[in-house]
Amino acid sequence: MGFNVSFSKRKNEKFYLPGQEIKISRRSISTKSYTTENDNVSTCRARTWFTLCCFIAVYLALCIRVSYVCLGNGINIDTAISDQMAEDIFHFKNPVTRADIMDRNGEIIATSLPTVNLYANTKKIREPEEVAIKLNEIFPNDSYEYFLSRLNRKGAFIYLKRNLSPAQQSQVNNLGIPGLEFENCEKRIYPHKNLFAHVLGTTDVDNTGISGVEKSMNERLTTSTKPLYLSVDLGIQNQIRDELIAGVKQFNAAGGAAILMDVKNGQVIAMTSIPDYDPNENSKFGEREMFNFATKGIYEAGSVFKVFNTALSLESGKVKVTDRFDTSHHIQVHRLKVTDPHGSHGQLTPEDILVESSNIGSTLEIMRVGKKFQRKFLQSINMDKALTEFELPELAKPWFLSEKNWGETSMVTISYGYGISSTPLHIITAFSAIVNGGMYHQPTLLKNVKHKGKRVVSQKTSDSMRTLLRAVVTRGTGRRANVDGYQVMGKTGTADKLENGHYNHGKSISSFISAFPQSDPQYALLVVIDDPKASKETYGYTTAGWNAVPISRNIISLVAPQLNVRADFDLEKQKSIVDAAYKVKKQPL
Amino acid sequence: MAEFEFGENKQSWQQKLAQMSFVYIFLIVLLAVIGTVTLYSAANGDWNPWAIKHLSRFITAFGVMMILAFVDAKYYYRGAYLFYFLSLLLLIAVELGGHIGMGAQRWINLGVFKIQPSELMKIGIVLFLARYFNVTTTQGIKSVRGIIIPIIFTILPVGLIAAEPDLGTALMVLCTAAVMLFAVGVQWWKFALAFAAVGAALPVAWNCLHEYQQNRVLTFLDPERDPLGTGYHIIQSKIAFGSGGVFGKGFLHGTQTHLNFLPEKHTDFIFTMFSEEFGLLGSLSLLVINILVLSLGYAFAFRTRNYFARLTMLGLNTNYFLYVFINIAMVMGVLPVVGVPLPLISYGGTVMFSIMVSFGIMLCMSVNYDERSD
Repeated sequence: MGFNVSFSKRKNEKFYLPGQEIKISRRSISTKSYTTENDNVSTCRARTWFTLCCFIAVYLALCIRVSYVCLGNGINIDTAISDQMAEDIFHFKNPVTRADIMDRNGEIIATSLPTVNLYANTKKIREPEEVAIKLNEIFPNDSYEYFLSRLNRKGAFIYLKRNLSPAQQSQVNNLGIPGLEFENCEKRIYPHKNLFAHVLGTTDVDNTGISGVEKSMNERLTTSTKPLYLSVDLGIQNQIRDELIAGVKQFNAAGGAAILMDVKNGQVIAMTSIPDYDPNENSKFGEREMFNFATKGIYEAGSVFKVFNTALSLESGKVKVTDRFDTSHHIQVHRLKVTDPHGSHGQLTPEDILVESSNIGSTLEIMRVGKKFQRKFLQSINMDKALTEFELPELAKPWFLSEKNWGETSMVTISYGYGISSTPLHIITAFSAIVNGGMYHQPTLLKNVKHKGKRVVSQKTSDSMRTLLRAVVTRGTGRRANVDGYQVMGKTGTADKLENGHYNHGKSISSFISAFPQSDPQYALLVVIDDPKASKETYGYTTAGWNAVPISRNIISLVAPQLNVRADFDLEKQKSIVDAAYKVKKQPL
Repeated sequence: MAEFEFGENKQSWQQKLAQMSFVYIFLIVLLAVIGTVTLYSAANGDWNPWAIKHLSRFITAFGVMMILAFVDAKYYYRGAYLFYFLSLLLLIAVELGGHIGMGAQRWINLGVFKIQPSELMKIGIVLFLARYFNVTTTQGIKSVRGIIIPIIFTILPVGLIAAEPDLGTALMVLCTAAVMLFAVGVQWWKFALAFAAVGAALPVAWNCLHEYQQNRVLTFLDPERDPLGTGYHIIQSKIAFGSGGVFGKGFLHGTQTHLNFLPEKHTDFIFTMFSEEFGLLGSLSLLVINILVLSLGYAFAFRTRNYFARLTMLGLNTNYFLYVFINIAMVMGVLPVVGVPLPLISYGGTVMFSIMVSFGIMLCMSVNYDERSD
């Protein structure tokens, strides 16, 4: 109707002058009560009044509402938030019971996720065949027969599948099959997979630690949900592991281990053992992968042990750094003939003995000191016992002769590293004490634990040892680890592998122990390579100077800048060093 | 149709200034001061990061407002279409490839500052409709053909804004346009028809909404549906209101807000914050100030003899009213949480400038009340 009216009027429109329209007799019904005239200005006036009234009415309504809400009537907390919701809001419940493990910088390296286990109450399941088909569709990795056999058992609690993802849980839920039920549980996750395998260890299906820190700190991890901070550093660990793997691969070795330790407090910054495993996939790996060589592998350190021999000789006061020893002739000790592999060297100072790694020189030194002092000293640096205060269950007791068996021959062989076996952890901890000023700190994996040190050598001996060890790197077997600016010091060692009580001359364990910088040692690094093979790049050698040393060089040049070790080099040389650091990966080891 | 312009305004600026409503300007300043004080409290008694910026923005915007107030009104008339189409163009530009902020495309980055074309459109639509209806006839308005053009040019920006998606602003523009259409005399039954059409289209529209928008509406209908998720804002807001009581917790002493129970306390939920600290009396005072601002705006509209000016002022007033109404209704749980700030009080530059520009235009029109457009 209205449409027709306006249509008819529109025809006349062109005859009106704007603003002078003829008043329309038919008014819109609704505006009737507000308008007295019918031109657009007065319509507007009336309708504007109307909107103003509406708006003010709305404001007044808001005023009433504000009063209502302000007086506390807007919300009834009791009904709006039930007790359970209030509990959720104000005391957000931690869904997992096992604490996270962090690295020293607060990066998560082990955490737990809430998940569910699927189990069957087979009394309620009517058609096991059909259920098994449907479950097999959701979990194609488990066979139909597996599900059928489980479902055919009698029981109210038959596990079908552990650790379902939320998507899988919803799929099973959507099947709507009575008798399929869920059990809340949590799954341990190691986001960095293999990286901390031997440090962290792993947990069993019941979330109890079965190895590594997970086992040794199981009680701490389950009683407090506060994260546990380890002393390890994610980035450093990653680079050391990468370099070690590259080295093990290049020298076709059976395995290897590396430890980086803060010499000032015994904290382990990185510790890795190759081969390793992914702790997320428990019980799929063999004994070798699960074996932590760094803390459990007992080996004869060989020439590395000469560090301790020299230190104890200097500490005894019977050997001075200026003394000279005549090494031109081999020494016969009972049935043992001590020789130097590279022939005789003539008159050697203790520094030269380390640099040339002279067995004869070491023998001459220890013969001055005597076995009693030697044994006592080695006991003081814990070479006789397992480091039980270390936070890992995988520890080994070194092979240490009893006093009765500690004869003249043993004294001599021990002076150059045979006849005594210990773990890499023992070696690096003792080495840290020799270079850090003489304080022995129990090794630890915890960030906030700092063991009080005990003095094992004097400051003077430690200072002398630093000079001697630096010489090994500047002009001895450790030359290839002389990273510019970081004043690396260290000692190589290559020992034949003891297999079934016999030395296997074809197989060896080569290692390089180092610390940097000489002026104020901060970190010690031990790289151990198990059974490296000779190659063209090493000119047929399998000694540590050709494998463990270059690996250490790569590691030190990568991690020392990250560890904020102050480099000490000329500004002019700096550019070439930076360039070299970039190229280091491409160089052959 | 012949177009009618404003006559020449021969008043000097002193004469103009003398005619301006100082009460109106005072109320605007008062609101901004309240905003600054509340923002000072929102930052736990610190000028940084909000209060100082709010104040400096207001001072700048105040300058803009005063400049706009002294511009001759005929320029608004002449520039109305241009401004509208420029805003429309920017809206299209933002739709095509605007800077993505807060998950929605709402901004155009001009380097120095970002502009929200939807805010420009709030003024643009008012100027457009005012100019359009300034020269139409009653018969024209009452016919379908007479209102088809304004409807198209309303639906176009509303659609663009809704697609950004910014449902709150789209509805605000739509409401402003509807109020103006109503004021110029569009028949009641057409509004009824439009409502019926919207009602019929509602189920379809519901499915077009984003999930977060659906959640907001569902939460509005039942805030306790999801007390930790989408309903959290409104429940916390109501608790804060109740916490303030009649006299409030006192300046800087609002527990719910200072302990961060209340989210967005410096923007959308600033009224809650104000209310917790200054109580029912403070909130009512704020509402009374807003009623006064609205009424004064309407007084200007009634006083002017210029049809264009009246329609413009009506539109801008409506826009301001919608801001205040939607914001306050939203924080009290009367409307869904649509993200509309409280002008001059909430922190945020765009709304501050947009609302001060509209105040500037209103002041200008209020001075030119003697100028007839016909």
